[in-house]
Amino acid sequence: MTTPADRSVLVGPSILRVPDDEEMFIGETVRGRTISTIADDTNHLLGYKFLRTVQCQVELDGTLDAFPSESDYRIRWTVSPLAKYVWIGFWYFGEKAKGVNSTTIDAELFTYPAGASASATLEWSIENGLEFTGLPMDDLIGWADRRALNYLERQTSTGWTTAGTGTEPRLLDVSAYVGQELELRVSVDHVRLLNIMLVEVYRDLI
Amino acid sequence: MSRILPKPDDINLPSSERFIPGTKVFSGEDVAGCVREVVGIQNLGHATGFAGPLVQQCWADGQFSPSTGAVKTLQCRWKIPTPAEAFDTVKVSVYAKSATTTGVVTFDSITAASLSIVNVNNAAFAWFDGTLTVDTGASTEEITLSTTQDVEIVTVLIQYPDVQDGSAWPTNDGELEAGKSGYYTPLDTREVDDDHPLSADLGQLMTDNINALSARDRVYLNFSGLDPNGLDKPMETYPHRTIVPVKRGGTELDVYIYAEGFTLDYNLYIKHGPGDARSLYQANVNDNEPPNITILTIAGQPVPAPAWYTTTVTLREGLDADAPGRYPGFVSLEILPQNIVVLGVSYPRVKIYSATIIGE
Repeated sequence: MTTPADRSVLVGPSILRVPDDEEMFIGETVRGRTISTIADDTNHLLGYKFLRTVQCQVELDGTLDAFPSESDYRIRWTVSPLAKYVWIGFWYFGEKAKGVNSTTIDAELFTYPAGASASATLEWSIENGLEFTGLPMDDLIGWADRRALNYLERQTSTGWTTAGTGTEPRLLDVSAYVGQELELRVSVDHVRLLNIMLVEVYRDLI
Repeated sequence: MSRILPKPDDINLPSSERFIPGTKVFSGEDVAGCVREVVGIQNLGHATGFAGPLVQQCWADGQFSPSTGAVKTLQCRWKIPTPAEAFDTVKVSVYAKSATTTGVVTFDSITAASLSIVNVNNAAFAWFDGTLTVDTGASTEEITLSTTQDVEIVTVLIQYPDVQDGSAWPTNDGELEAGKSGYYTPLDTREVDDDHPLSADLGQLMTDNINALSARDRVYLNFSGLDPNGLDKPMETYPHRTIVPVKRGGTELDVYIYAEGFTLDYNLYIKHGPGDARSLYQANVNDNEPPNITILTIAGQPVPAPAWYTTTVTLREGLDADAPGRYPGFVSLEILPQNIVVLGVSYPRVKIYSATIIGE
């Protein structure tokens, strides 16, 4: 796969300008700018607009206080052609304020349907191994208290930073799985998961 | 190979720097090679662009577990975009189980009047897939889900699969069928072989295809209430959020709400603001409206029966200092039904049964 380091390729976050048909009349000379604009616009489509966003609302019947302590979730998507990385985020409430000391979100990627681990090349925001144990859930609260404090549910994600290793936040490298379907398996313990989000990115300019 | 559909893991992106502004484009190996890459990328964009999940919704363990019974009741309702004729079939999936192994999940496409029946015949959780025809004549299609017998569902997934050509693609290069597919015309690489002149007709097709492809939108949020008793159950009053990557100059979204109300106008909060979502959550929407909150007012209340409402919101660029390069950033959106107070009296909140956000 071509990388930006190979040569100068613009993958911009917007279409520059779609050329008019008048720039390509039969019998007229086609100028370099016309074709270069077509190339840039095409790159934008594959490298930005057609990167996939995967949103998953997690529902339950009842108030936030009624949520089950432990639950497992599965979501799937097919990695698009120019998705080199994926950003994954969660919104959640935890139960630590209720005296629960262990609140965790575990997440792991697998190929689908083969079920082979797709995690070897991935790094999460907290640590390798795809376990979110130890996230700052200590100030999470129940529904009644939440009304007073307003919008203190937490978000955690894989982050943007690519420098460093180990505990540094990283985008997840999915370039080895383009065109393949992946399954994200999420297990929570004393965590009320509200939402799972995945956004594919083409790293350098997106 | 003509009308090439390149395998996704072997893509060469064209570099615009190969073309010097103001100079003529001649046939030749280098230029033809680059235009050939454009052709392949556009064909690949047609096959994969806009495909992907339209609906993905989970329920905590035991939540979506209707009681045993033979009566089919309406359980869920979603709206999906249908802007491209090339995508006339969705793949429907459930991650579910049935203790009696006789569970049935039925997907209905309302406009196309088509059914997809997915049998859940396993007592342990597993994925079960089916296909459903959708209408492509309108900009959106409505899909409902219902169940019979005992079915416990964790995940519902509705997605457009990539366009398949019947070959080994995406493992190997494939080939698109000849002829117009919706608004897209598959491009033929033979027209840009070495030492062939670049035809104006091909260039015009390229620009037409860019316009056709750019009209395809992404789904950023799709929510449905769960109805275990045959009555639509509205969205709970905790926030339903999503993330939207905003392009330079802003991103326009279409918001669809299936709702009803029994009071005066009601408000729907969609928040957009800094990329640092945590700061956004400190806002107290019950006091003063922060500048990054959009209030959508659905007029014409009271509405005695649920109906779809549509509005358009343009998101400003977010601020995400950690984003690489020049990426404008993520923006958080939130739908949160609220109570409304009129003359000191608090009226029931709006009942939002389904919500869909689709955007460029």
